[in-house]
Amino acid sequence: MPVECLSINGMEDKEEIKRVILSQKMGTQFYIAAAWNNAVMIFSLGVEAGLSEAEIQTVIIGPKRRYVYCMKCFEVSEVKEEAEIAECDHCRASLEIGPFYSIVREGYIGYPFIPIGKEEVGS
Amino acid sequence: MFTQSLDFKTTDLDTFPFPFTSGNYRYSNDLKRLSNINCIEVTPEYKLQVETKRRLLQEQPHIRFQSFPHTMEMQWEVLEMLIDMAADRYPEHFEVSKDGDKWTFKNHIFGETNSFVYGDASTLPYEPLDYIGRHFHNDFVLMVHRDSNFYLEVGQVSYAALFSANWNKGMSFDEIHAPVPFVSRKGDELAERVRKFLLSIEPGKPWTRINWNLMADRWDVNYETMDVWGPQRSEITPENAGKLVRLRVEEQKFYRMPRSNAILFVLNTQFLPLEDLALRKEWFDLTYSVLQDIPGPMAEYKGIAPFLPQSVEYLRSIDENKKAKKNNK
Ligand code: HEM
Ligand SMILES: [Zn+2]
Repeated sequence: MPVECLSINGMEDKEEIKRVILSQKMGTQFYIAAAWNNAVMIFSLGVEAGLSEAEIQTVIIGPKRRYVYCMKCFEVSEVKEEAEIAECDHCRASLEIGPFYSIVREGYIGYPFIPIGKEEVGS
Repeated sequence: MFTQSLDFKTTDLDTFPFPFTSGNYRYSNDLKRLSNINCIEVTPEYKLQVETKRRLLQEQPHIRFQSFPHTMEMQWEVLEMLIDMAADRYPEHFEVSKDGDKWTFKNHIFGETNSFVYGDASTLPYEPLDYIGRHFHNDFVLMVHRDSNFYLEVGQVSYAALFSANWNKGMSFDEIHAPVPFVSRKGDELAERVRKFLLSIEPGKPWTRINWNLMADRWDVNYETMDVWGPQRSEITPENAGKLVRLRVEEQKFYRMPRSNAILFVLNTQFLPLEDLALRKEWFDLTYSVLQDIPGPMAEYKGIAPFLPQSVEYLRSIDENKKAKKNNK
């Protein structure tokens, strides 16, 4: 079986990764075995290159980490896999974790909200 | 700090891009050929809008402007196009002299003169698109064309309806539109069709469409301040909706840039309080009809669900008053 090897340094190799994905035969199955962040990156590029989610199998190596991108201070925080809300590690804003992921920001969108009971008096 | 309470509305109704052509609204590929291809417009609110925009860019630079370093050449191309359009349409307001690559741009409305070397960003106070964008009231987004898609690589966004230059930076057309419940009248997925259409746009033949929303007493609603405007929306009542709720329209224009092949997305955002709709009977009737018929997921997505019933109730009471007056005559 022929083997092609491509070394990936990060998003700067985006085009190359997509080229390799696009040059495969129709119906090829993709297997990603990688640490969480890398897997998310390759997965998103696969979808961008036109693969359906059913054509990609993923095995996460190591802890399943998720990151949320805080729309208040534009920093990422690590969050639990199943978390729906989180507190930003950097500015302490309460965030609702949305379903959208940014390859550039390397995290899921975190919509800021004010938790019940924490509204400022008088506002 | 910038206050979001809205201190302007369109006063010259002839310049207001009224969005509705029928009594119910669904998403569609509603792009049309743009007849006047010059996107520069000076309305009675020009100064107010540009000053507000500059203040936002000053106070929230990371929210309002984003770019990748490799976009400089594309940004210069945009600067050139906008300067030429401005000087061509409004020679009394904007002037440019070009001595080789030594350019001088004058904005007579603000009494400003800037000289710079075309192509040398170090001779400008900001990046080229950020600089020239501060002379016009529009938002500008540059979508770069790569493998059958468009990627947001430069954005100056001062009026946001769930649009963040910071969050959307680097995203493809499809990723940007992922949150939109993009279902047409026929129930099919629109994003793919619209993207293919954009691919076919040619230089010199721009296209246009109008997007709309309702705003509850705000200049814009962005993700960055969701904690603030989220709860405020429920303060709208049928009594105050006429003044506080504005029909917010975005006239969108799409230009294929001849050198970079990118699409320049230009937005003209205008506001009209619901009470001013009565100035044009046709606008009032269409808006009243459309707002009664918004599908739930669309209202949720647009963020208007918490004050849509109050807004419709306000329009209904005006409508009934009008009818009662007519019958009494
Ligand atoms: C190529 C440049 C374009 C850019 C940068 C752009 C950007 C956006 C953004 C940022 C949003 C808000 C998404 C969110 O909720 O996070 C949006 C919404 C939307 N876009 Fe686009 N768009 C573009 C072109 C188009 C075109 C050509 C159409 C034509 C049909 C379109 C139709 C829509 C619609 C219907 C919505 C939902 C808006 C609402 O209901 O308020 N867009 N767009
Ligand atoms: Zn934060």
